[in-house]
Amino acid sequence: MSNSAIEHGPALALVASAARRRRRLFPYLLIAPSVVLLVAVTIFPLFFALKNSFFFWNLQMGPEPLGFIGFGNYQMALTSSVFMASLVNTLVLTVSGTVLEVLLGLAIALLLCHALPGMSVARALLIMPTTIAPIVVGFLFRYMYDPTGGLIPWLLTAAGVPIPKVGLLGSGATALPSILFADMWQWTPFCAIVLYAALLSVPQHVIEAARLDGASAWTMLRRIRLPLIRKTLSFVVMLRFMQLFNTFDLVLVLTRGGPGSSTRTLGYTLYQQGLVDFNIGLASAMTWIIVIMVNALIGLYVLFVFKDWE
Amino acid sequence: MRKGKHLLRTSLIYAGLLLILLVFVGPILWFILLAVRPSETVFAVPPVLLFKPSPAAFQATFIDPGTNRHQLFNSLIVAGGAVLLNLPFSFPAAYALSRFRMRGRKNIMLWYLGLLMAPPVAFLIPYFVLMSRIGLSGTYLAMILIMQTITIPFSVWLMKSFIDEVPVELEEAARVDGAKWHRVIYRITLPLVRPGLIVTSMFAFVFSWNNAAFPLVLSNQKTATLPIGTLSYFATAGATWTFIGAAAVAAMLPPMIIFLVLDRYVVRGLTFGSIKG
Amino acid sequence: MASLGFENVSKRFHDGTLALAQVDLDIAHGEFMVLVGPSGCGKTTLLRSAAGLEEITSGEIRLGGRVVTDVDPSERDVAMVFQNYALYPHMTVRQNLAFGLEQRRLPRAEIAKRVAATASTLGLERLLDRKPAALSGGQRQRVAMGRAIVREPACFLMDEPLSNLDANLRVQMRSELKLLNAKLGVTTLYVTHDQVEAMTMGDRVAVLSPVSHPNDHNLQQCAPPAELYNNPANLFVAGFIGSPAMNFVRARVERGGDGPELWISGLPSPLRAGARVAALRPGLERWQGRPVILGIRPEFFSLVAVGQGDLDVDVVMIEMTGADGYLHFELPVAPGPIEIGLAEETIPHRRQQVTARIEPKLLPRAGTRVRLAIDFARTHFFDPDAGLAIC
Repeated sequence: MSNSAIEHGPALALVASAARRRRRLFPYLLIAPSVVLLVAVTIFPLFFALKNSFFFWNLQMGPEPLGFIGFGNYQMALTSSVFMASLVNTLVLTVSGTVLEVLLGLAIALLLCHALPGMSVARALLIMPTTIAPIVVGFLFRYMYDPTGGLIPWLLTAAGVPIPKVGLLGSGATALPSILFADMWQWTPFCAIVLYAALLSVPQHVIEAARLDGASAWTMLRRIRLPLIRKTLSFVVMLRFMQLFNTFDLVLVLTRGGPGSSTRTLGYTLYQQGLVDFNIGLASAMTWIIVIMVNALIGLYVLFVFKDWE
Repeated sequence: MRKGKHLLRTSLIYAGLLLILLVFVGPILWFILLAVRPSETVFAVPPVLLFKPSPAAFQATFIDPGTNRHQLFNSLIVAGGAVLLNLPFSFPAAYALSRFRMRGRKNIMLWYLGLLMAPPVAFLIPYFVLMSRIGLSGTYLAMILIMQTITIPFSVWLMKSFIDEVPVELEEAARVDGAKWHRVIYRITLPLVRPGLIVTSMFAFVFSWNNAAFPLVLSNQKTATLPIGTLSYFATAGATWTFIGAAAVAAMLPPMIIFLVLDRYVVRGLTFGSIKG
Repeated sequence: MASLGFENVSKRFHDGTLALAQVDLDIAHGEFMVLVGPSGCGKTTLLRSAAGLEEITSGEIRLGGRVVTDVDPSERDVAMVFQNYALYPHMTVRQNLAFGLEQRRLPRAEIAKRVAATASTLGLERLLDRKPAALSGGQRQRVAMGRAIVREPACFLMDEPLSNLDANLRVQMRSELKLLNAKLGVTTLYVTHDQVEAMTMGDRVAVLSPVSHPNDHNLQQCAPPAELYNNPANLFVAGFIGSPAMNFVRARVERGGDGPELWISGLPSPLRAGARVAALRPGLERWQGRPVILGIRPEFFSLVAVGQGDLDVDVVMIEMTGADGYLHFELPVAPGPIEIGLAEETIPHRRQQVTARIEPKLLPRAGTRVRLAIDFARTHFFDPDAGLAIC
C-alpha cells in the first residue's frame, strides 16, 4: 500500500495539480463567452476605427480608404469649431443635467420616504417616464414644445413667461435648455426611485438613535442619511453623467443639432459625420477622441469613488 | 395640537406628491390622448381636453394601410432575439461571478459597467462599416448582436444578485449527494433563479425595444423597428401627429406594462442589485 | 435624574394589534427597573413609548413630574441603548459619543471633557478613532452605553442591550452595568426576555404578559426580585421566574385529619400537606373539594429514606451541572390543559414531567425508585381559572 503511494506519488501529484488548475480556471471559462462576444462587437470595431482614423476615407467618394494622412483627421476634429461647440454643449448639458436630476431626485426621494398610504402607487407610477424610449420622449416633447399649439408654450404664455417667436426649439438661447428639460423629465424619477431605495436601506434604529440625540431634520439629512447613502449617490451621479454625455436620441428628434450648432452634442456630431456625411476617417478620429475622454473620466471617477468597494 | 401639526404636514406632502405626479405622468396621458384625437384638435389653442376619441390614427398606422404594423413585428423580433441571445452568454458569467472568489472580480464587474456607459454611437460607425462589408447591414442579426453591448452587462449584474440569493448550501448539499456541477446548476440553481431570469429578461427586452440608435443605423426599410418608422413621419410636410401618437403609444405601452407588472423588482433592477448604501 | 411614570397607558397598532393595555407603572428616582416577559408581552413597546418612538393610544407618560406624552423624542432628555447598538456606522467612536452633545449646542471644551470622561469610565480610550465596523461586539456595546452616558440624561432606556453578546461577556457586562448604575444613580428602565438577567440586575422587576383584550393588563406583578421569587402573584409570574421552572401539578383539596389533603388523580393516596400549611394559607379553606394548581419549585423536593416523605417516584432521567443536580420523574395527570400562561400546554398523554433539585452526590441512577419529600410550607397554590395565588 505505502509502496504504491511512493511509486505513484509524483504522478498523482501531477494529476492533482492539473485538476486544481482546471478548477481554478473554471470560472474564467464561464465568463469567457460573454467577454468574447462583447469584445468582438465593441473592441474589434473600435480597433477597426482606430485604423481608419489615420486615413482619409469618405464613403461618398469610394468604398475604400483613399490615403494615409496620419493624425490629419485628429487635427481637423480638434480644430473644428463644430466639434468644439459639440464638446461645450455636451459638457454643459451633462454637468447641469446631472446636478439638477440628482438634486431634484433626492428631494422627491425624501418626499417618498414618508410612509403614507398611496406612496407605493405613486412610486410605481413615477417609473413611467423612464420606461419610454428616449426617442419617443423626443416625440412627446416635440409635440409639447410646438410653437403653434403645443402645451408648454401655452402654459408658459398663460403664466406670463415670454417665448421666442420661433419657438423654444428654434431659438439658440432656449434650445439646449429645452432638451435638458426633456431629459430631466425622463430621468429625474429614475434618480428619485434609486435614491429612495437607498434611503430606505438606512437602518431604522440609527435614525431613531439620532432622533433621541436631538438631531433636527436638516442635521438628520446632512450628517446621517446622506453619508450613509454615499455609495448609491456616487453611482447615480456616475450613471447619469455618462448617459447625459451620450445624449443623441433627443437631439435627433428635437433639433437635429440646430439652430446653428447650439444643440449639437458629441454623439450627434459623430452621427452626422459618420452616417450622414459618410466621412468615415474623420468620424473614426472623433470616435477615438471621445472614447479616450470617456475612459479618462470614468477611470478618474472610479479611482476616487470606488476605491474601497466589494 | 399635535394632531393639527400632523394634518398640515400630511396635506403638504400629498400636495407635493400630486404636483409631482401631474408633472411626470401628465404628459404621458397627454401623449396617449394625441393618438385618439381628431386631427383638428391636435394643436388647438387653448388645448382641447374633451373630444370624441377616434381610432382613426391606429387604424391608419396598424391596419390600413398599416405602415407601422410591420415595424411592430420587427421590434418584437429584434428585442426578443436580443433577449434569447443574451441569456446563454450572461447566465454563466453571472454564475461565475457569484459563486467563485476570483481574482479581479471587482475589475471585471466594473468593466461590464463601463461598457454600458460607453457612447453607443462610438462603436456604431465602425460596426456599421464592418457589417456593410460582410453584407449583414440591415439584418436582424446585426441589430441583435450589437444589442448585446447593452443587454449582457446589465443581465450579468442583475442575475448575479439573484444568484447570490440562492444559498450555496443547497448546491453543496446536491454535490455531496453525488450530482455533478452541471446537474447541480440545471436541477437546483436554475429553478430557484427562475423569477430572476424572468425579471432580467424583461429588463433586457425593454432596453432592446427602446433602443433607437442601433436600428437607426443598422436597419433598412424591411427591418426598421417601430421608433424608426415613426421618424419618417417628420420627413413629410405637416407631420401627421396623430399617426405619430399612435405609433408612439404602441412603442410605449409594452415597456410600461412590463414595468408596472414587475414593480417590486424595479428598484432592484435599477440599482443593479448590489449597490448598497 | 428624574422619576418615570406610566399612567393607564394603552397602545393599539395601526393594524389592530393590542400591545399595551392599562399599564400603570412608577419608577422612582435612580431606580433600576427591569421589564421582563416573553416575546409579544409589550415590554419593548412600553420602553419605546417612554422614548417617544412609539405613540400611545391613551394614557399619560411622565418624566420627572412633567407630562411628556406628546413631546418629541429629541426633547425628552432620555437616552436609549438599542439591542443592536444602532451606532452611526460612518462616524468614529469619538464622533458617535459627541453627536448628541453637538445637537444640544454644548461648547466644544465641555463636549471634549465629557467624551474623555465617559471613554475612560468604559475603557474606550484606545478606540476613540475607530469606526464601529472595526470594533468587536462587546466594544460596540460599550460605545452604545457610552453614547447614552455622555448625555447625562434624566433617564436611561435600555432595550435588551446584552442579548447580542456571547454568554461569558454577558455575565461580565451584567455586573459592570450594575456597578455603573450604582455609581451614576440614573433612573433606568431595562428590557430583557431573560429572567436570570432580570433577577440579578433589577431593584424591582415588572413581569409583563401579552394582552388580547382592552380589559387585560400587561403588568402581572412588579416587585423586588426576592418577592417575585418567593411570593409570585399568579401562575404566569410563578412559571416565568425561576430556572428550572416551577412544577405545576393539579390536585384536589380535601380536608384531612391534620391539615389539607391534596389528591392528585392517578395517585392512590393523597399528599398530606400538614397543619402548618392550613395556617400559612388560610385562603385554601374556600377551596375545599375543588381543584387547585400546586406550584412546587424543584428545590422544594428532597430525597428521603423509605418510610419517610410523601411520594414514591421512578427516576426517568438525571442531569448534573456540576454544582446542581436534577432528577426528572413523572406524575400521572388528568386529561385537560394546564395553563401556565406562557403557552398553553395541552398534555395529550396522561403523564407529566416533574423536576426535583437534588444534591449531585445524592443523585440516584435513572430507572430506580426513590422516595421524595415535599416542603409544603413553601409550596404555592393557584386558582386554576384565574391563575391567582391562593394565600
